[in-house]
Amino acid sequence: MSRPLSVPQGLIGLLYQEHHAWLRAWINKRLGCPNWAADLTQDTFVNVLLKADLPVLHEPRAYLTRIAHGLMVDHVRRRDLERAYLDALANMTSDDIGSPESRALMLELLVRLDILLDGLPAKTRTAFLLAQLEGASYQQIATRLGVSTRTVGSYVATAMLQCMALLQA
Amino acid sequence: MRSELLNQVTPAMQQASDWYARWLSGEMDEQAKLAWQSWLDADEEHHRAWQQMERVQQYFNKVPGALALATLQAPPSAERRRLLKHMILLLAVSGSGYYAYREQPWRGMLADIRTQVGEQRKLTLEDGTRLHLNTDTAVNIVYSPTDRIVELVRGEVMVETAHENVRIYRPFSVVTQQGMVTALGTKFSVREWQQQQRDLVKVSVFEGMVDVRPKGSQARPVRVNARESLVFSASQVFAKTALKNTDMAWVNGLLVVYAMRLQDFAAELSRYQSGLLRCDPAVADLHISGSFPLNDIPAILQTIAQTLPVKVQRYTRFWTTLSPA
Repeated sequence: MSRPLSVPQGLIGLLYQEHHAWLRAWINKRLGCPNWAADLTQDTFVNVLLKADLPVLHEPRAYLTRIAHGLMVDHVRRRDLERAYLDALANMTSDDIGSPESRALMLELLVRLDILLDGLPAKTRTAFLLAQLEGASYQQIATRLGVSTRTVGSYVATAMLQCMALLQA
Repeated sequence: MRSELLNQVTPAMQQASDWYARWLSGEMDEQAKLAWQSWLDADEEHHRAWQQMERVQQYFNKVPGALALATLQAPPSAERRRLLKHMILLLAVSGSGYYAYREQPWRGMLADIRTQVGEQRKLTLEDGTRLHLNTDTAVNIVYSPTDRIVELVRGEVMVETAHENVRIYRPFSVVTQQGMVTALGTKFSVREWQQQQRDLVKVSVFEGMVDVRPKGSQARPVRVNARESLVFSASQVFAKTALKNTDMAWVNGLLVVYAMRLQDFAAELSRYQSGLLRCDPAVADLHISGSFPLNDIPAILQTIAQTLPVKVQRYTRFWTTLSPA
């Protein structure tokens, strides 16, 4: 059984016809890569198509660009993380870099962790990661960031709170 | 944290993240641990918030630390920074205020002799009395011309009194917050601890005998003979029990248990390492027996994982959970 689509095919067709070329140009201007822009434009419309309840679109272009923007951020995030991940793997002394599947899973997990930390100030993020992933003491983190241990505690609590809020959402 | 998330944050979640940060600081003393426990037990919602916090930890625990750190700490590309600038709203509000970090005065700090968590110490006092301090213990030595007093501020101490060759006999006592234990030529141990928010003292007599006087009791002292144990609080004396040989095992650096609930075992073990050792309720009632060297807690945990249907999850060096395998 297929999920009923609340968006009439005709409406999507209309949306596509009227705004497809414009959206691709909009994305291309920001990414500077025509191929990637074409892909992201398709992804944006697929995203709209899969929406359970499409709101009444008074400003269809604003709506499309918001979705496209979200997708762009996701793509760039994923690409940045993949580069950083491969760099990190290359710098590992161990030969065991895992299978391509396990690396893909790991990257997926890292993307999700990055989303949890999204938007946190740099020091807050660093303090939390050092404490949580490296088990660094508050004193070590305080010295490294040039803040008091008390502030480190506040950073760690704030970052955890955001992760909790996002994980439950 | 991000402003649009603020309306999803409950007070319980704030408190959970605050407690998390305090645990991670590694400076939770006994009093703070009790406060944390009573916060946790006070409300079902607190429990849920704490579990939510543990879910976040489990997430971060799935990735190898060094690799995740290198990846997640890499600076964002110029492209991503440019994209983020477009974002509708990115207000970062300060988290201060959520985290009320308090440094509590620590009574034990002023004690004459202390051991750290996981440390033991033997010493001989001026009169030849020998003390053996267990983990996380603090004592004051107060000798006067008429009395010999060892004040147990925290923890557990084994005493072997010496026979003084002096004309005036000076009684030897261990004084705790809950009352006094006076030795009558003996070898005994005194341990103070908290159980369900009650301060208790356990006296175990290996040789000779002692008299116990709870602080709030006007009754005659209770005599505890060799091979007996007695638990008391400031106002109450509980029934005497036969001494278990295993009660003395710590003196030899061992924890010896027979058919002990895993939860109680975890509580006992956590005396010997700083940080939180938690036991998932699903495995709390498993039983464990054996003899475990206290100088290698990670090895003990590994043994548990090999012999019981339990897995050991270490989130940080302050955080270990025993959960169903």
